[in-house]
Amino acid sequence: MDKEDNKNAFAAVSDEPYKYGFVTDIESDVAPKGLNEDVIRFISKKKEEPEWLLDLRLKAYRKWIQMEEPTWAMVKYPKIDYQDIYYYAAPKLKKGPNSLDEVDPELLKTYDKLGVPIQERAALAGVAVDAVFDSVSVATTFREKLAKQGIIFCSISEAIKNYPDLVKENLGIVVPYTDNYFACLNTAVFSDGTFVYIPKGVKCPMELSTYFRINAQKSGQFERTLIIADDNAYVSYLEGCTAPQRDENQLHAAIVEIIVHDNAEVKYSTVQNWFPGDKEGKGGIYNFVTKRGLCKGYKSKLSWTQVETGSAVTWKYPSCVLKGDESVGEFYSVAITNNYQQADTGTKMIHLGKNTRSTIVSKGISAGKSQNTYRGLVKMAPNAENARNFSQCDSLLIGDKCGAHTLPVMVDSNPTACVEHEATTSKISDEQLFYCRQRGLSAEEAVSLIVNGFCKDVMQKLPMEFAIEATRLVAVTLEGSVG
Amino acid sequence: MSALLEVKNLCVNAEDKQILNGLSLSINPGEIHVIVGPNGAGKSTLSNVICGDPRYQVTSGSITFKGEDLLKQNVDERARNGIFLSFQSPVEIPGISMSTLMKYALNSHRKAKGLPELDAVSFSKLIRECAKKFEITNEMLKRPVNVGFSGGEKKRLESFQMAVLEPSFCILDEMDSGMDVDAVKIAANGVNLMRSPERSFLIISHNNDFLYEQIKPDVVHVLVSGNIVETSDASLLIDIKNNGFSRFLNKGMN
Amino acid sequence: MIELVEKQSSIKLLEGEQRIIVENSLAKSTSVEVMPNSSLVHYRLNKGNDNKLSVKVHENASYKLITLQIGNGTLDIDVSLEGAKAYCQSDIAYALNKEDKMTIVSNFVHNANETTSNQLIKGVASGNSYATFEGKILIPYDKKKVEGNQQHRALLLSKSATVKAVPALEIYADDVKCSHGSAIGNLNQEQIYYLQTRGISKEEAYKILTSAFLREVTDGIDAEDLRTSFEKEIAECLLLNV
Repeated sequence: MDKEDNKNAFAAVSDEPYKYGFVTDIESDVAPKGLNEDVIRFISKKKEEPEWLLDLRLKAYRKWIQMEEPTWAMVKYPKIDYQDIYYYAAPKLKKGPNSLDEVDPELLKTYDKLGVPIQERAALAGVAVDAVFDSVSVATTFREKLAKQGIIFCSISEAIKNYPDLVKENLGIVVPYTDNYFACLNTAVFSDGTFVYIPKGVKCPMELSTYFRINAQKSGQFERTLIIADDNAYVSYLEGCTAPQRDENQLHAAIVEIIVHDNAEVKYSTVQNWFPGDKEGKGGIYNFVTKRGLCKGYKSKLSWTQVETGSAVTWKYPSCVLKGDESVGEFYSVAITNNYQQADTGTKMIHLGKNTRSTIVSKGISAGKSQNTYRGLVKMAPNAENARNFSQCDSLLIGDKCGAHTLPVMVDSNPTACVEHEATTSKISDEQLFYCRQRGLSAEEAVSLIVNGFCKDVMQKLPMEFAIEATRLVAVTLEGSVG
Repeated sequence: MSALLEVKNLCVNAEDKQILNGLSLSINPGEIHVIVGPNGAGKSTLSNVICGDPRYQVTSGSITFKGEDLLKQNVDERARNGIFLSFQSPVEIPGISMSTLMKYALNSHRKAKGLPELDAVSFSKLIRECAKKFEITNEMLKRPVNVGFSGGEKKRLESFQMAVLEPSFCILDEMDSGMDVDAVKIAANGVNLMRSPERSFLIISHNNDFLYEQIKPDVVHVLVSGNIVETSDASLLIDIKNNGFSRFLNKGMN
Repeated sequence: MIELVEKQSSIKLLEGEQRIIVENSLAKSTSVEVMPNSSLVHYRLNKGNDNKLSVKVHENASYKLITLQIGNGTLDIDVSLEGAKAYCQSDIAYALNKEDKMTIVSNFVHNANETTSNQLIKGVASGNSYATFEGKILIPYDKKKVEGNQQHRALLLSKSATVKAVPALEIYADDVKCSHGSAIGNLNQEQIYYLQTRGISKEEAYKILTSAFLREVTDGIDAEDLRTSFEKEIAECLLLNV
């Protein structure tokens, strides 16, 4: 009888309905469907962008139409018709809200449902929020407070207008449009995103966070984020997203660029629960993201921490280029796939400087009929004296119809540099299950507890607020509520 | 007095091989029973079957616990009903501390009894009191379940769990196998501290007479080839100590 | 009794047979079949050549491979475990120097339940050489009680040598225990220091520890002469004094 129970506990993994499934009906200001130079000019004009940016977009577009969509990842998805997408959709708003009072109340209600702390209570929690809705930033809170310290935290569109030099100097440095197919597309049509600049010697006093959703039918989302931490600066940035239930797949091809100067540190945390597709694998978001950080200076430090539970197809490799001597890169990840989800994710750590260090801890959990792949690259360049990398990649299989794959690549060209990688793949042991159940936990509770233990090393790295949401998310993705 | 646990003519298979052959056993509340026998007789099988380990199939016979058909209940239902197994080699669960496991286990037990979850303060108090009984430090409670502990420490942690969950029926599987004198003493201490007229024990043992100096069992059974061939009081242990199992080996063949 | 085998393209054991063979002259492509209940211990030396080895291990059979790969060239190993309780232990030692380019590609497929594979690959790259190790373990759908382990360790002895490791686990079944590990780097500096405090020069310490590094593989050879000849090849390639 208990074999049945164990099987059912595993089956219960897909029974929790996606709780954020709803749609906001707001008039969207949409560009004509499809992609061509006219649409790009339309987007640029709507955003009142300077000439240099329109040029960049057009250059990227012209390159993109010559490129071929890559097919090397272990994910299968129906061919995307790039002409069948709206590349710009913004809710009709009066020109620029100056305070929360001016924001469309429908939108605020939406954020309420999502739990976005845009209200005053966010001040007590110490979280500033830049809420992006359908390609246009709606409200940015606490800007004045941060501005007093010289911290810039605003939408990319605003940064382009108000801090053009900063943006021009840094945009596309870490991820040039030639980097890959989706980065090229993003550069051509990016809608909006976040810009953060922390000046020299400033430690940002609060966690910065952004929530965004894709709403309008067939509107791809092309977010562009640029974070710069000047010498001796510090910032912790949280990214969390939700999306409504839809029947057509929705493309999400974002770029996140981070530049860390001497002795500066950036912590970038993501809790992602994009709509994963229903039980039959229909619908769901395609999450093809290029995230990369450049540790430019001496002792620059960048940590990527992520909990990925959503999307129908996930394709992302948050990476660090460790250029400065003694710079540090970290990657902590929990990636869960269920039903028909597919994930091909991981990280790249490129060691260029001396005494650079990187740590990779990846925990993959596969359930249902999903495929979960870790793909990583650790490269020690010839001048990376004394560089060190350590990677631990563990996969847990829940049920016998899913797959877990580990595909690391290590290249070492320096005899004093060390690369170390360990990986394990197994299922939840029957002994562990039996032990927990003999202590009175139901089969589902036991699975949840064991999985939480499996992810512990990564969860510990998340900022407090996220750690709680993330633990809940793991439970929601895999089973009913935890006891 | 009605029996707490009643096993009648139990036949059990594992991987299509028959291990228990019509075993019968009756344990009353407050009693301490010991089962001894040669290796491979089926002692661990019996304890695992009572707990509901899915690796074993009951092909005929019955088990009644507190008057209810135990075979109709799954592992965790039996546990919440009051059955506790102290494992021979407790498994490790990385990333989950002992306190966390106890919190979930205790609240599951309480929910089944219609009680509300224990608040954080009361829970801490309870845990600390139970930990003290078995010399479990705070640091041990914070470590992942069973990771990096010695054999003796693991046994202490099993006894500690017994104290927290307050089962009515405790099975101690091979409590003395592969353990030194000190560890056996700790395990015996566990039994003695938890003894009560409402609680029964089934101790699966390798016939360690040091053990019996520490615990005075009420009933002793000899298990050979999947069946109980003799039942008597503690004096049976002296007999086995002096004469071994030879006179029982033939009895085992039906 | 070790049999010497030369340029054989096909090696097939009879059921229940037990053989130990050594190949120091290889055909371009060799296929090996270890029939049910038989066991094969296979020693190979591949020096400067491209070579392919395909192995099928059947029910209850065991295959143990120790191979030394020296200098330029590629080695392609395909092992499929075709029957229940099939077992494979594959140990590879590789050494390259000067302008050598070496590629080792191994593919292990567990096509039956209760199969086990263990791999140990140890390599040393010196001079301007470039070594690539790609090792995949594939466990198809519905396989049960399968164990696959792979450990790769490489030493870089010079500033212009490079080692690239691509271990891969592709797993479609859940009743498995798989692991792989890969470490590329230098010798343990503490060990070098220890030898120096015993009066041994740094250069000599490097040589001693480097040969010790690869001996973890060659020590598995059950024949002294053969073992010594493998050690000699390694020493020659890496310019370690014998």
